[in-house]
Amino acid sequence: MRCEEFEQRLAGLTAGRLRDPEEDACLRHAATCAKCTRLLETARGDCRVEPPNGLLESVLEQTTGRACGDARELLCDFVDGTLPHGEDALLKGHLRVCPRCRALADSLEISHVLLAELAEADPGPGFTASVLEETNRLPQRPEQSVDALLAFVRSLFLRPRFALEAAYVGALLLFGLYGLIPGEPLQPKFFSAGPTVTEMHQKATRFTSAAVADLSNRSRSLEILASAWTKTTGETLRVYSATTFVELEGRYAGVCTWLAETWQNARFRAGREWNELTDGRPGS
Amino acid sequence: MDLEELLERCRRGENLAWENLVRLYQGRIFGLCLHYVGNPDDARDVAQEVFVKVYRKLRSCPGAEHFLPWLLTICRNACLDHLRRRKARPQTTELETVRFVRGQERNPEEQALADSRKNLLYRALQRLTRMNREIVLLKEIQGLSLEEISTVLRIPLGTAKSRSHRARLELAEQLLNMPEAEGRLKTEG
Repeated sequence: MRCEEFEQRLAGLTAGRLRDPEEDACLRHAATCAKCTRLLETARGDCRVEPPNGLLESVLEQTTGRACGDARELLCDFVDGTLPHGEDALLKGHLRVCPRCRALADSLEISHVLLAELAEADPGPGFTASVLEETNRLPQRPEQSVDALLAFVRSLFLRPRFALEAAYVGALLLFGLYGLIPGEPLQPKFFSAGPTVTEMHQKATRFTSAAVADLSNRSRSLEILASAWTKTTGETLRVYSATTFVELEGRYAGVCTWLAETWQNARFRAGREWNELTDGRPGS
Repeated sequence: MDLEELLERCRRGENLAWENLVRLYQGRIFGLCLHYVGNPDDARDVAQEVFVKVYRKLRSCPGAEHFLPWLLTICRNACLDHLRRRKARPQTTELETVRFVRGQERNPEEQALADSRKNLLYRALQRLTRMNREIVLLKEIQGLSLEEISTVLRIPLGTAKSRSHRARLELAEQLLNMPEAEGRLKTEG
């Protein structure tokens, strides 16, 4: 048999479709011809041909790039043995061809085994005795609720977000109490049913001025009456002069301001006093 | 005696039970303090302080199931308080000065290799960021679950999970990048 005839029958030979005499002739030829033997082995898959160097890298470079990033994501589960079977096989394939990932896997495996051995250290002789000595000095006491509360408050302050939260709550309170309308006097919103501090101060001043003017007029009348009485009877009568009331006006104004300020701090108490002052009847 | 009974006896004020509890956890607490503080003398003081605090809080301590995370939280807070008081960064101690307790049975040659790897690992651990180091300390070294870590560190569970992977990879990379690691990190097989 010639080599050309062998090549023509090769497909049938590998598929087992040749008759026995033909198959024997082919095999006899292959046994004597090195080229046809290699051809037969390749066709049967017995002969592995090594790929050229760098083929995989150049294919990956032109397609998906290297798979090291994906492999890294799976390495911890691979070392822990928790990777699903399919992914485990894929990763093993990658580790066979990637020395860098293989080294990382080795390093992870070593640290996984040895880290657990760093858990306990010997504090040296006498440690237990010194702890017991220290704790024997303490009376065992039930934990006080105040201590627990303090610990809770302390833990709140230790939280890094505490300052932000406190500022947020503070801002909410400010906006809730005083609103955001520019130019308006600072007046707590839930007090807005009553008069403002400014209105109250104005009323108080008006009332004081009117009262002082009235008293001043009465005083002048009294002064006239007293001088008439002195002229007719010769007796001297002591009467407060009108200027005394003008001085008093200043004092009343001071009192009104003080009242207004007090009212700002304790509105209802100040309101009651205000009612007493303006209407002359006790507050309810 | 199981831990639950031991704790119950400690709560009742039995000195023998308390001594046993201290013996049971002193290695772990001292080990954790050492990782945080980095200096054996300071770590010893802080560990003692931790046990005094535990003694004071015995009546309010949780049951056996949650005892370890509770204990490690107290220990972590004490270490951070200590560092804050000293306004110090953790120091790095040479591992030769510390005796770690637990370890597999190995022949002398294997033990020497394991010790040199542990030394590398300990130094690589000191190079991690604080959060990553804490996660490795609590998860890989102390063996806490991710849920327990999220409670101890007060971070969401998802964050603990993703950080745990990142921290392990960072540690493995630090190990690889150490010049002394050359040839010491090959696994068998």
